[in-house]
Amino acid sequence: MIFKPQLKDIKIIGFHLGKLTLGLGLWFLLPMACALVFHEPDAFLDFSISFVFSLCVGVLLNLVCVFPEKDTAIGWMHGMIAVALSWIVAMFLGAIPLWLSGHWASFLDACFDSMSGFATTGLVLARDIDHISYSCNLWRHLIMFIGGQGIVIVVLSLSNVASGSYSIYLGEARDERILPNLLQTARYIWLVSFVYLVLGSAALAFAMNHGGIPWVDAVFQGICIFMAGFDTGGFSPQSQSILYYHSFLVEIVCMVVMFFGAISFSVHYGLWTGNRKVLFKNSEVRALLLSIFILFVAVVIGFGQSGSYITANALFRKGFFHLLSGHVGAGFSTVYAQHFSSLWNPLSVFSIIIAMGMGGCVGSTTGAIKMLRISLAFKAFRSEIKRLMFSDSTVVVEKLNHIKTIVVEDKLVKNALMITLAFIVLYLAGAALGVYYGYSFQDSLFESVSASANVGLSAGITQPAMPTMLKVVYMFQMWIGRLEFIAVFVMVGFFISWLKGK
Amino acid sequence: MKIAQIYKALLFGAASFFLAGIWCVGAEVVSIEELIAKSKTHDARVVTIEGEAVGHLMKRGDFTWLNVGDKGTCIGVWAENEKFEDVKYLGRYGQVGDLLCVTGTFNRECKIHGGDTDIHAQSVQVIASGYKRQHPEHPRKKKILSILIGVVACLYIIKIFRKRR
Repeated sequence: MIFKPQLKDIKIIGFHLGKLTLGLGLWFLLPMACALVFHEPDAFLDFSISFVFSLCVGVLLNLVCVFPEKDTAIGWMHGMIAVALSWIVAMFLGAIPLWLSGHWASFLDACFDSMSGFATTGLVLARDIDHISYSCNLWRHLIMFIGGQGIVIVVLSLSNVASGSYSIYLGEARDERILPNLLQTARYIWLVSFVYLVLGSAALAFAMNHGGIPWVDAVFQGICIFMAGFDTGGFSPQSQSILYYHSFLVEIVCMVVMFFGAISFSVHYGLWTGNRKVLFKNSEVRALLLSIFILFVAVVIGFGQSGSYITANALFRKGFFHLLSGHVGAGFSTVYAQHFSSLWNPLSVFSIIIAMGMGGCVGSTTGAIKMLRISLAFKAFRSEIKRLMFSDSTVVVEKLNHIKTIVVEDKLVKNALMITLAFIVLYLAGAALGVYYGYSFQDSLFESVSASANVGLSAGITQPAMPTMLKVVYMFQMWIGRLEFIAVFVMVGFFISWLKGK
Repeated sequence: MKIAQIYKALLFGAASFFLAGIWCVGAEVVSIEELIAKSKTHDARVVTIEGEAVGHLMKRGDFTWLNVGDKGTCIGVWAENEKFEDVKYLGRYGQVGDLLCVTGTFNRECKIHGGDTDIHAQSVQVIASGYKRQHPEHPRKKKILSILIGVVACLYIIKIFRKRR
């Protein structure tokens, strides 16, 4: 029997959603300050409206959803639904200043870019990016930084919410407790991110200034590119992405930043505490490196067949850069979107699609299936073959090193395969819709995988003139892909039980 | 004497502008969008493009990179520093960049620049000067903000009142 949710359940979700909205609204203060520094009064007005509006929504939710103090503890279901809904609320709030700036053709387009930012995807519908204000550009990249860590983690680390917060943490596709206390873990993730922000932005600013960009813009764009790179987002302050800089040095720094973003925060913790071996002992990191190597060979063979990018320099700057960018889900690019279908060999393009579909490491800022699940599936496959080959009395035990050595159990494999299957269905469903609208299968699959895996590379489908339904579907793919299904499934189940329950 | 010099300078300027116009009109102008879409057709050919100078003049020794954009598509132009001497306005927030006419060799995958799609310019002409653009504050936005501030103030008062009760 399905139990119908009570009004109390809705109030608990609404109350926590209100708190999250208030927390999110505070982030508007940063672009407001930026608008003041760079003398952008119209942009200041846009962000002020967004800030006050988010306060209105937050306070209103807190007023409407009042319930006794003793019941404020958030349950498993409430946490999951609050997370799924908070990403939708964040999308709408984040879209307000974008839409008001006039660089987006409609509010839907602004919502698309807002979801793309929060979900760290990087697909863009903005028009005339090269003339966007500093504050608007800061906001575009800041939402990637917030989304990369996890919207709720952001609020969690600023507050002292303790009861039930683990369900919120899980809802945002994170399951690692790096430190014993969840609050400490959330704050540790922010500490790591801020330290890398300073170092990475400085390196990027230096590389950009070396390439001829004045210091003020080099620092500003360095910060923006870092936030998009480390959080494997892929927005950039200029319309040409990383191609704008025409700089090998900038590309190298971007590659390092992207790779660091794709590594689990628990591995970073190991590195920070002096355990340097953790980087190469970790099964997931090893699988990522192996996968990058194998797919790069495929990309090179593809280039060889088409006769494009045949110099070592071009192979590295085009082939390796895009493979890494796709694999870790960053979505930075140094080629034009149309060139994937017109100049690149299908083998090279499919290698990039496979890389995008697999993603980076669990517990990092990347999306997609992730290498831990691929490793688990591979180990389970190998163990089955061993079982068939050896005698019945042989006990086959597969182990995997992820922070500590773990035995590959059926339950782990089942969970990994379930998420993998869900991702594959999502990739194919989006591709089918693209084909329905008349795009080639290759381009449709490329774009669908890019949206679902939160990558941001484009084969040219994503543009303001694309069909509205496709925009909505890509937004859904970005959302459900970022949350890795569970929170969204729980939310759908909640609504079904509300309608059908007794 | 001074007036004669001014006249000469004006005459020279007008003639240069006229010749530049002829240069651009004479050569067939290809849109940047078409260059990107039909890269194979135009590869290694001398092309002429028109577009706005955007972003930054990125000096690299004796050469400079400048990105030129038209209808949302930009391409990198690589040339000696002197060729960009006349460029004064660069497209960015609050500024429309100079409109340039660039003639040069289009490279689908430039061998010198790591496979970048670019143009190695032979000539760069400013055909229309850029300008500062104002972004005035919208009066309706101010009204909306005032209303929202009023609403949030009321909500807070209700919240405080409810807490006291």
